[in-house]
Amino acid sequence: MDAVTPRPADAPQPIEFSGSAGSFFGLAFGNLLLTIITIGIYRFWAKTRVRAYLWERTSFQGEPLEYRGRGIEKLLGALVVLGAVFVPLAIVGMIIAALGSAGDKLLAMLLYLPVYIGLIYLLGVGIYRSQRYIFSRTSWRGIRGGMTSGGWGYGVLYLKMTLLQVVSLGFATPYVTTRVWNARMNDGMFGSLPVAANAEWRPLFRRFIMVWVVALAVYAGIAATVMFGMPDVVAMLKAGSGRPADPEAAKATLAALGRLYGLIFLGGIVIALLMMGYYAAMLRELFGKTRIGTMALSLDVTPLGLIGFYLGNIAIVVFTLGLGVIIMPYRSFGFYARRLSTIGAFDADKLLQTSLAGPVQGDGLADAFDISAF
Amino acid sequence: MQRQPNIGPPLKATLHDGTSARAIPVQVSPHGERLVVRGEDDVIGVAIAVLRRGAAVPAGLTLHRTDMPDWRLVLHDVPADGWVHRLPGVGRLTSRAAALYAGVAAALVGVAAIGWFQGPAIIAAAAPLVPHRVTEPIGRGYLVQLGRACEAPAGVAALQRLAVRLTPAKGFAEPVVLTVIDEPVVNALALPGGHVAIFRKLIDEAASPDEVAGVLAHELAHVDRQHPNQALIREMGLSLAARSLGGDIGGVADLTLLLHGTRAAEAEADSDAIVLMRAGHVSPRAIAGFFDRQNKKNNGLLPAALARLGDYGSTHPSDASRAALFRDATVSGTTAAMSDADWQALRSICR
Repeated sequence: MDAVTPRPADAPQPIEFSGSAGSFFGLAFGNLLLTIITIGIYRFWAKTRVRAYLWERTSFQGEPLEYRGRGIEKLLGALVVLGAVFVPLAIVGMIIAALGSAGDKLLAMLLYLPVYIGLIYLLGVGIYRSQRYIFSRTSWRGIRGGMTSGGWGYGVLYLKMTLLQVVSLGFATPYVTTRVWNARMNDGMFGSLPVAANAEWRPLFRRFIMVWVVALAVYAGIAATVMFGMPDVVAMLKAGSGRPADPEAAKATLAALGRLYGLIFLGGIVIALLMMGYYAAMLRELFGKTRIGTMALSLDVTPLGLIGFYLGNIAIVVFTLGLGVIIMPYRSFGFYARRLSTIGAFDADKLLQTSLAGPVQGDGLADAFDISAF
Repeated sequence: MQRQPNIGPPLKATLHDGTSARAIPVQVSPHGERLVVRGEDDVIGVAIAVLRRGAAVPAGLTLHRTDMPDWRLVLHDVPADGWVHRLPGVGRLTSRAAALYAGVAAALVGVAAIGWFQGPAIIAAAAPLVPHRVTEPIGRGYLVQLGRACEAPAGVAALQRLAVRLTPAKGFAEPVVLTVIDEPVVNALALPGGHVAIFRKLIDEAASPDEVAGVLAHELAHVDRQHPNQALIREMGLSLAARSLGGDIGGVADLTLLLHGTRAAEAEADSDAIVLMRAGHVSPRAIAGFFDRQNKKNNGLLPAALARLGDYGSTHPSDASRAALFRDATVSGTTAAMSDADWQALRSICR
C-alpha cells in the first residue's frame, strides 16, 4: 500500500517558501532604524540581510538556497558607480546647463539627448549586472550561479528595445519584454547547467492588442466626454495656466480640475484591471519557457492573483500609514516564490560547480536606478 | 600544550563538497584538532580551525570552510554542547576580510578627515583652476533664474561708475558683471563667474548711495576671493557623494546647487569691503546704518529660499556686529558714493 509511487517526471514540483510577514517586518524595521541612524550607509547591509532572509527560506528539493552576498560588496559597487557614472554625469550636466544659459538652448537640448540615451543604456547594463550579481551570490548545495557576460552588449539591446517601444507607442511591448528576458536568461548558468529561455511574443500579442485598443478607446472616451460633456473643463484648459483673479472662478476651476482627474483616474483603473490579464499571461510565458538544464519552470499566476497582490500592497501601505512599505520586498519575493514550480527530472549528481567567477563588487548601478524589488 | 582531546560520538551529516551538487551521506566525529568525515568510500580530515558555523536549516546545521568557499556540511543531529558550539559563526571575518574592511574604513575616515580639516584649503586652491569661461555661464544660468534683469541704460551706467570707483588698480580675480534683479527682496549675492546680483528692493530701501556702495563692495570682495566658485565646487562634491550613496541618479542628472557662504568667508568679505571702500574714498559708516535697520526688521520679509541663497542669511555674522565693524572703520577724505543724478538713475533702473 505504502510503496512509494515515483512522481511522474512532468508533475510540477513547487518551490517551498516559508517566510512570514511578521518575522520579516522585525528584520525590515531594524534595518530601517539602522539605515536612518547611519544616514543611509547601512542600506547596503540592510538589502543583504533582506536577501539572506528570503533565500534561506526558499527551498528546492527540501534544501534551502543560500545568499552569499555581503554588504561591503554593495558599498564598493556604489563607490565604483560614484566615480564612473555620477561624477562624469554631473560634469556633463553642468556643461550643458552652462551652454543652455549661454543662450544656446537648441544645442543644449540636442546635447541632453545623448545623456538620456546613455542613461537608458546604463539602465539596461544595470539590470543585467544586478542579475549577474544575484546569480553569482546564490548557491544551492554549494553550487553557485553566474552569467556569461558583463552586460555591455545587453545594454545595447535594451536601448534598442526601449527606442522601439517609444517609436511604436508601446505597440511592441510583448516583443520587447520577451526579447530582453530571453537575452538576459540565456546568459545565465546554474552550476554547470545553462539557463535557457525562449519566451514568444506571438501568443501574448492578441491579449495585449486588446488591452491596447481598449486603453485607446478609454482615453478617446475621456477626451470626448470632456469635449462634449464638460464645457467648463474645456474653458479651463483653454484659459491656460493663468491664475484666475476672483475666488469664485478659482473654485470653479478647481472643481473642473477635480472632475478631469477623477475621470482620468477611473479610466486608469479600467485599463489597469485589463492589463492584469495580459500581465499574468506574460509572466506565465516568461517563466514557463525558461529552463535550467532540462528542468522547466512554471509560474502559476492568474489575473485575479495579481489584482489581489496589488490591492493587498496598497491596503498594507495605506492602513499602516506608509510604514508597511518596508515589507514590500517580502511581498514581491513571496508572490513569485509561492507560485513557482519546477517540472521534469533534475539530476543533482550531474550538477557540477560553475567555472564562472562572480563579480567582486555589488550591483551598484542597479541600486543607483533603484530597480530591484528585493 | 595538548588540549583536552576532542572526541565525541559520530554524528550523521550530509556533505556537499563544492564540486557537484551530489549529497554525500557521511558520519563525522572530532578527533583532536581535526574533524573526521567518513563517507561510504572515502575518509577525509578537516582542521576544526577552518570550520565555521552557518545557517540553521530544516535538515540541521550548515558548516562552512574558510579555505573552500563552496564546501558545505549539513549536520543532521547537533549535540547539545561541545565542539560545534565553539565554532565561530560564518559572519566572523577571516583575517583577510577584516583587513579589507579595516582598509576601506580607514580610507573613508581618512578622506572624511582630510575633507573636514583641509577641505576649505583644497577648495580654495582648486577654485582659481576653474577657468572663467566655465564659471561664467554657470553664474549666468543662476542669474537668469533669479528674475527679470533691470536694464534702464542710465541706471546701468550709474551702477557701472560706482563699481569702477570700488575697483582696485589690479582689478578683480574675475571680470565682474553687475545685474539688478526686479524682485521685492532686500538682498544681493555674488554668483560664480563674477556675476553680482542686486535685488531691486535693496536699492529702494537704501537711504543713500553709500549704503548700496557698501553692499556692492561686500559682493565684489566675494568675487575677488572667488567664494562663489569655491561654493560651487564644495556643494557639487558634497551633493554628489550624498546622492550616489543615497541611490539617487535622477538627483545628479538634475543637479541644483545651493550657494551659501560660510561665516569665515563673510567676515573676509566684510573686511575686504572696507579696504575697497577706503581705496575708493567711500564712507563705510552708511552701511552700518543699513545693517541697523535690517537688524530691526530681523529679515522677516525674506522669502525662505532667497534667505538661504542670498547674502543676508543665517551664515552671516549678526547684523549688529557687522554694523559695529563698519561703523568703527575710519576712512578719510570721503565723498558721496554717487552723484545725485546717478543715484536717481539707479533708483529708477527697473522702470
